[in-house]
Amino acid sequence: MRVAVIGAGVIGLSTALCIHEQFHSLLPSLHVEVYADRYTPHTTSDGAAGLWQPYLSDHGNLQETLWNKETFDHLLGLLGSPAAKEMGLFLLSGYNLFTQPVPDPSWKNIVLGFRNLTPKELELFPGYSYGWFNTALVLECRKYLPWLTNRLTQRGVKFFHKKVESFQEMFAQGVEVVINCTGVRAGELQPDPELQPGRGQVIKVLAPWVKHFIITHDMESGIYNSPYIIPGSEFTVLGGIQQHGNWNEANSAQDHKTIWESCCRLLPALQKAKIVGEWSGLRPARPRVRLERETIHHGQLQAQVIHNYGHGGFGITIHWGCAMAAARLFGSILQEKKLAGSPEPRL
Amino acid sequence: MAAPKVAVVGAGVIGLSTALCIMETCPSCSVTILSEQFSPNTTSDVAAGMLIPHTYPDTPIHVQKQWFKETFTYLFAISNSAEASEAGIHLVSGWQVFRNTPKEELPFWSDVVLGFRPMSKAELQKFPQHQSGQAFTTLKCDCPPYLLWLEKRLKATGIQMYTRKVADLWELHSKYDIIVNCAGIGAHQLVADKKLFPIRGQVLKVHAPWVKNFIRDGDGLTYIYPGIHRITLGGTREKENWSLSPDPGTTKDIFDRCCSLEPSLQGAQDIQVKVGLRPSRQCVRLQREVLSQGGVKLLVVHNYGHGAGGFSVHRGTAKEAACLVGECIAALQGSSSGAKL
Repeated sequence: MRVAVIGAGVIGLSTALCIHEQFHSLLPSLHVEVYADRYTPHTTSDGAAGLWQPYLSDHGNLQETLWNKETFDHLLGLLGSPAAKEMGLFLLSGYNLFTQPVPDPSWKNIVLGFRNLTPKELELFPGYSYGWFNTALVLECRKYLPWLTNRLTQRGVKFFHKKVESFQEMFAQGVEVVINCTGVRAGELQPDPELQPGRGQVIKVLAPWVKHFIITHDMESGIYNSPYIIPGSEFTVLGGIQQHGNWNEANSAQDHKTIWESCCRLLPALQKAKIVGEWSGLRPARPRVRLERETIHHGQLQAQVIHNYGHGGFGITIHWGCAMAAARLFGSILQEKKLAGSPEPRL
Repeated sequence: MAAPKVAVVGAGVIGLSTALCIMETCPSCSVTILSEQFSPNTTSDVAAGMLIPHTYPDTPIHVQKQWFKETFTYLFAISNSAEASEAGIHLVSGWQVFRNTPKEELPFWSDVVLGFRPMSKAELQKFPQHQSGQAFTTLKCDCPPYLLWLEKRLKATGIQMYTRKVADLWELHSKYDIIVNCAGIGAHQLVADKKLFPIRGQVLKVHAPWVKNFIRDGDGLTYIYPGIHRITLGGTREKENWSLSPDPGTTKDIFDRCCSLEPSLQGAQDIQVKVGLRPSRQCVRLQREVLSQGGVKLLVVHNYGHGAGGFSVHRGTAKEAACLVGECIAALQGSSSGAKL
């Protein structure tokens, strides 16, 4: 049975791995293939700093909160393993800053050691009067995607460097299930007015003395439109841009100035940091993640698509929970085709 | 009298910070630093420079707390300025974990560091061999950067620094009015202080840039302190051991103990080994003394014996030493016809 995963960012590769890990032994005829026009280090995921942190409010979307938790717990379990370094996975503590008191986030009990900031800590951040401290995780995709690729290659998954123009193209080749992990460009395969780019830009600097993430929030400008600083294992990411509807992937001098000035104001020590790069990317923004099955008619046949896209600025944060959910949807497809047998053990 | 001539013996964190405090309180003083070693070869250069105080048995707690608070406040301001990276000062968060829950609820410094609180159950899961712990945020002074930054500020004031082994304080009496003894472990010989003894510490400095939090075992023997470029892994506390040579068996033992606290350290690269002799004493010797020899007097201010806690209290003790120097100057100026007391 041929399964094609379209998209090789964090969502595509982790979904491919989940499906292969769970079903290959049950279904030896399972062939998983990955199709993408961009691979690491050129995907949207590669530009992200990789900090695990959902948005401030889940808008009542409990499903997404559960997927976030599943991802955090899964990664936390891998922290002590030898794979952690190769995956680009490590713990990071830090600050979320506000200009007024806000309700605690849905993820306060998922992260470690969540608490409010003390008055002395707030002295570090003039202009901010309220905040949180917690310990979370970083998963650097420049290491994680190659790690996933290695695991997939070891399992015999094949990779194709090509831009898929339509689901039909896959079905015509004999693919029975397509996993649609195309991120911000999902609209090219099937129009989706709810999916919009949330353009971001970041400056990469050398500032190894920065050991905490610092994320500011401006309740008026919206998420990620306020300065943030996230240290990585090789460089520190400065950001704070979120432009809804902007498809431009080129770096903007104006945005550079905004990021640089606001981050240096936030952390004066950055003034001496050396700039080593700049990058722009398009968050695949959507009111909620699209994670569902769809039956597509292909001539006389019915083919299946599992959509898994629209993770906005929290793709890394939610990826594993979504990959597992997509694998469950795949399992239900196999059930219907009576291919995998009963998942429940016989009493 | 002419500008008082002060010699500071020792150029570790204590000598340099004391010299700086003297210049701040007495700009007209002529200060010279004499030391056998300068950065990167001082005891301070081996230390991680973490602001986690050591408790001196014979110094009143309120005094130790005041020293720590002054030091923390001073460094906090630098860490929040554009000079932070050059000075090597940065905030770091982490955990102190205990295999057995300690009797005392709170250490005396818990309200000086930031965000001090007990660790949650979830946080403790990362340390299956430990029962309880404390989470907090403190400061770290990376050496050599901090010492080099102090040297730069000192040179800007016109202070002279010379490499010179002082074998006897009396060598200096003809050229200097006041001697400030910041010789650290060197005081054992320099002033024959038998109450001063080394506690040998071996550490590893490794490249593991993904480690961003400190971890310290409450027994003080095993610790992981992330610096700007390297992580300091420790350590040992070997009383009366004067050897400065790294011991390979100890290196392996330190590495294993640290990996058991933080498994990802298995991937650490480029392991460097260093040894320092903590200048240990029941209390820091911070006092004036008037030495006498054949009718000649020599004014001395001692500031040594900080053991494992040098960085944590350096600024506080430096300021107090500078005050004592001020008292010496007042005494000199009070003497008749400018002749030495």
